[in-house]
Amino acid sequence: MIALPTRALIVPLLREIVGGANVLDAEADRYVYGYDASVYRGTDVLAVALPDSAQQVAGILRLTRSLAVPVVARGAGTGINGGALPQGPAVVIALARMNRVLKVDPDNRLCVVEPGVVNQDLKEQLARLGFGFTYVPDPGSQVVSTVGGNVGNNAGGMHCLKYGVTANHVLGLELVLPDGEIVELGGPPAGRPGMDLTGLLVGSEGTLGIMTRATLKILPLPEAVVTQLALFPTVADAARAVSGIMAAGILPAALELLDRKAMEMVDRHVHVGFPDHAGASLIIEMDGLKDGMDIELRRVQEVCQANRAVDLQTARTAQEAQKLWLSRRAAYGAMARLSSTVYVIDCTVPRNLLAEAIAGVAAICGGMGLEAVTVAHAGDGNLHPLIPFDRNDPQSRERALKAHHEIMALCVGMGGSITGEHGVGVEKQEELALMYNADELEFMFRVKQALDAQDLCNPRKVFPLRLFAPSLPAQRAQPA
Amino acid sequence: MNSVAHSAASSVARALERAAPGLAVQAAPATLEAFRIGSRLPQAIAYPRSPEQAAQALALAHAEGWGVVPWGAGRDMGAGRPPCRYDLALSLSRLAGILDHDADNLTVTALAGLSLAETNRQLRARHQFLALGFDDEPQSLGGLVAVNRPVPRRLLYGDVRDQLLGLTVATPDGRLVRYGRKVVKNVAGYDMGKLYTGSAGMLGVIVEVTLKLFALPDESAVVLARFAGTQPALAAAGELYGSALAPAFLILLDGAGARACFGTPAAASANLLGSPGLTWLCTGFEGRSAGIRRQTADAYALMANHGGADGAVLPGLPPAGRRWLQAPNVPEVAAGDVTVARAGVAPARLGWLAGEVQRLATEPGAGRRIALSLAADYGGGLLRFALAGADPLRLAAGFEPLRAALESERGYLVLERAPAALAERIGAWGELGGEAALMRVLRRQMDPRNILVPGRFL
Repeated sequence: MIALPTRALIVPLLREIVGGANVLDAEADRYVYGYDASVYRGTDVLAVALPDSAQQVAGILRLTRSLAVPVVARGAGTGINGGALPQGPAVVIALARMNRVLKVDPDNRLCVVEPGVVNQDLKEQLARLGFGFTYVPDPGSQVVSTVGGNVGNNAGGMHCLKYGVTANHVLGLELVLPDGEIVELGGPPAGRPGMDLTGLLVGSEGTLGIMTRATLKILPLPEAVVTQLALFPTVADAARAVSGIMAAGILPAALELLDRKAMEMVDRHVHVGFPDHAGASLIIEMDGLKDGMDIELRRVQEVCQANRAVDLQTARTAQEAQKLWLSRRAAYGAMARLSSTVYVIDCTVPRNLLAEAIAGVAAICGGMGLEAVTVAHAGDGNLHPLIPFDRNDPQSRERALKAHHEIMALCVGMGGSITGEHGVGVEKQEELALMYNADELEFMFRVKQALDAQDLCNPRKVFPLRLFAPSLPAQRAQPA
Repeated sequence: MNSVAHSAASSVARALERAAPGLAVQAAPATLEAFRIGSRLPQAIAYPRSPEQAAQALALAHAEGWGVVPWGAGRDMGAGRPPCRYDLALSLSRLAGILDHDADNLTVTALAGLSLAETNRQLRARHQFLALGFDDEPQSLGGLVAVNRPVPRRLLYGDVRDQLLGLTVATPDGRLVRYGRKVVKNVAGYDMGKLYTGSAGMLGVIVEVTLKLFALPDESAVVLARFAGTQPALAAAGELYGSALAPAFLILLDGAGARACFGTPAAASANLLGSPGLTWLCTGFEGRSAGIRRQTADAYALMANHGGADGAVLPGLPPAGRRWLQAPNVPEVAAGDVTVARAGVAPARLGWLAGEVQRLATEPGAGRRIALSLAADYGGGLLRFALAGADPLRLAAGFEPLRAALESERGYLVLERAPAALAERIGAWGELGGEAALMRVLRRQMDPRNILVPGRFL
C-alpha cells in the first residue's frame, strides 16, 4: 500500500462522515482557521470538518484516533488565549452547524442546547418564548460567541458577581470522549453523588473531549433592574466603594470599573461626557425585587459618598441604563481606534486589592514604555488591562508579551489567578506554573492523562509544554 | 513524642510512630470502636495537627499499601459499603482552625476539620457566615466538600460547588497540593475543586478549604401551608419556583415531617396525623425586611390560591426544622434498620418519584410494618426519604428498577445511610448513568494503589 499524505487520506474519509460540502480543505479556509481573536496564530490545519450531530463528532474522533491525528474543537473563534488554534497537523472540528436549541423547559428552569448556539441568540430565543426566563452568563463577546466556547473556557461576563460564571449555570453535558464514545454527565437534579465531572469539564478547553450538548440553567427575569454610574477621584476610591458595598451585605448584579485612561478613550469614541476630575467610573447594577430596592440604592449611595464619589447618576429607564452601560461596552471598540492590535489581559486578585493591582499594572507597563488602559469586573476582582501594541514590530510584541507575564506574576503574588474568565490556552500555558508547583501541575495533568492519554484533543494546550511527551509532533502557535 | 495509647499497639500504629514523630496515634479498642464502619474496624487512628502530618501519614500508608479512611465529623460515614481494606482512620478533628478570614474580600480559609458551627460562631463577629448548611449538626468543612450534600438553602446561596473557591489536598502518596485561590473567579487550568467536590475521600484528603462568605441576613421568615394532596402542593411549589420571588428553600414535607419540624400547631394537629403524601409546602426567605414582607405575603397568597390551608408565617425555621432539612428521619421507628436515601430528578417529576417511593413502602412486606417519611427539595429536584422496618433484600429489589428509571432521565438514587445487606447489594451510588465508569478511570490515575476508602463507593 502506498502511504498517502495525511490530508489526501483524511479528507475523503471525513467527507464520508459529515458530507462532502461540510469538509473545508481549500488553502484559504485552512489559513483562516489558523486564526482566532488572540494575539497568536496557529499553523495551517489539515482540514476543517463541520459535523451536524454527536454521532458525526464521534465518527470524526474514531477516525482521527485511528490515524493518531489530533483535533481542535472550535466555536466562533472569539477566544483570546489561542485555545482554538491548531499547533501542527490537526483537524479543526467547527461546531457552527450544531446550533439548535433542543429544549426549553421553564417548569424545570433549564434548556438544552447544542454547542454552536450563539449566546445572544439563546437569550433572544428565550425572550421570544415569553416564559420570563433567561440564560444569564453574558461574556463581552456574547453577540458572536457560542455556548460551546463559553463552556469550554468557563466564560464570565458583566453579571458574574451575583450570578457566577458559566460553570455555575451548566447542569449537564453530553461529551464525546477522545475515543469516540458518547457519554452524558450531570443532569437536572442537585446533589449528584460522586465527583462533579460536569464542573470539571467546564473550562477544560476542549482538551478532554468535545461537548455536543449542554443542559443549562435558566432563571426568572428579575422584577426590577436599576443601573447607576458613580464617578470617583481615583481608582482607589472606587475600589474602596466596591469593598464597602459588598461589606454592607449588598450583592449587586454588576460592578464594572473603568480607570481614567479607559474613560478618556471611551469618551473620545462615544461621547459619554466624563468630567476631567473623575479618575475612575463605576457602573453599579442592582436587580431583584422592587420592594426594598430604594433602601439598597440609598445604601449604595451612602457607601459611594463615603468614598468621595463626585457624581452619581441613576438610570430610571432601560434607555438610560443602556446609555450608562455604553461606556463599558464600548471599551473594546474604542481601543480598536487606538491601535490595530490590543492585548486584552485577563487576571484576578482578591477584590479588596484591586486598586493595588491596577497601580501595579500601570507601573509594569510604564516601565516598558507601554500604555495600559484598565477595565475591570471590580466585584469579582477581575481586571482586564488593555495594552495596545504594534504586532508588526517584533520589539513591541516582545514587550507586550513580557508585560503580560509580569502582570500574571503580580496577580499570583497578590493571591489571585492568571485567568478570570478567558482560560489558559496557548497564551498562559507557561504562566500556569506561576500558580501551581510541579506536584500541583502533575496531579492536574493526571486528569488529562486519565481521559486523553494520547493527547489527541486540543493537544499541547493549557499545561506547560514540558509536561507533554516530547515525541509529539507539534509546532507552538506563535505571536502574530 | 507519639502518644500510642494502648500497650498492644497495632503494627500500623507502631509504623506511624516511627515514620511520623509527633503525629498523635491511637489504637485503644474503645477508640477504634468509634471509627467502626459496618463490620470493619481500623487498626489505628491518626490525628494530624497539620496538613504536613496528614501528608506524612498518607505517604506511609501509600508505601505500605494500607487502606485509609479520612474521617471528619463522622456524620456521613453510614453511606457506602464497608471499606475492603481498613487499616487506618485519618481523623481530621485536630486539624481545625481559621487560617484567614478576609472579611473585606468575603472569604475564609480554614483547616478542614473545623466544624461549620465553630466557623460560623467566629464569623458572626463580622456579621458574616458560611451558607453550606445549618449549624445544628456536627459537620466538618472538609467533610461538607467531600460529601457534597445538597445545601439546604441552595436556591439562595448555591451548592458546595458554587461556594468553594480553593482547597488544599493531601494526595494519596503524601504530597500537598493547593488549587484555586481566594478570588471568586478562581480557576486556572482544570477546576480541580470541582473534581474533589463529592469525591468522598477517594482522590485525596481535603486538609484546607477556602470558601465564599455571605453577609448575615437582617431577617428570615418561613411560610407554610397544608394541601389536600401531593399534587396541589407540588403545583404551588412549581409556581413559586417559576416566580420572581427568591426563596432560600422550597421544601415539601409529609405530615410527620411537618410535625417534627414545626410541632403541632393547634389548628392543624388533627390534619397532621395520617397524611401520607408530601402535603406540606414550606418556603423560607431571608434578607432585608422589605423584601421579606413582600415575599412572605406573596407566597402566602399563592399557596392559598392552590388550596393551601392552615397557613402560617413564622420568623424562621425552628431548630427541629433545621435538623430535619439536613437529615429527615423516621418519626415512628418500626423494628429493623433505618435506610435514608436521596433521589434526584427534574423538579417537575417529583410527584411521580414520591409516588414510586410510597408504592415501595406499601407493598406487602412479609407482615412487617414499614415506616416511611418523605421530604422534597423542589428546586433541587430532590426527594429524601427514610424507611424503617423493611426487609433489606426486598428493598434492594425495589430500589434497583427505581434507580434505573431515575438514571435513564439523568437522575440518581443514593443511599445516605443503609443497613449493610442493602448497601452490599446495590451500592451507595449505582453506576450514575455511566458516570461511575469515568470516575473509576480518574480514581485509578489519582490513587493507583487504591489506598483511599477502597471499595466503598466505586
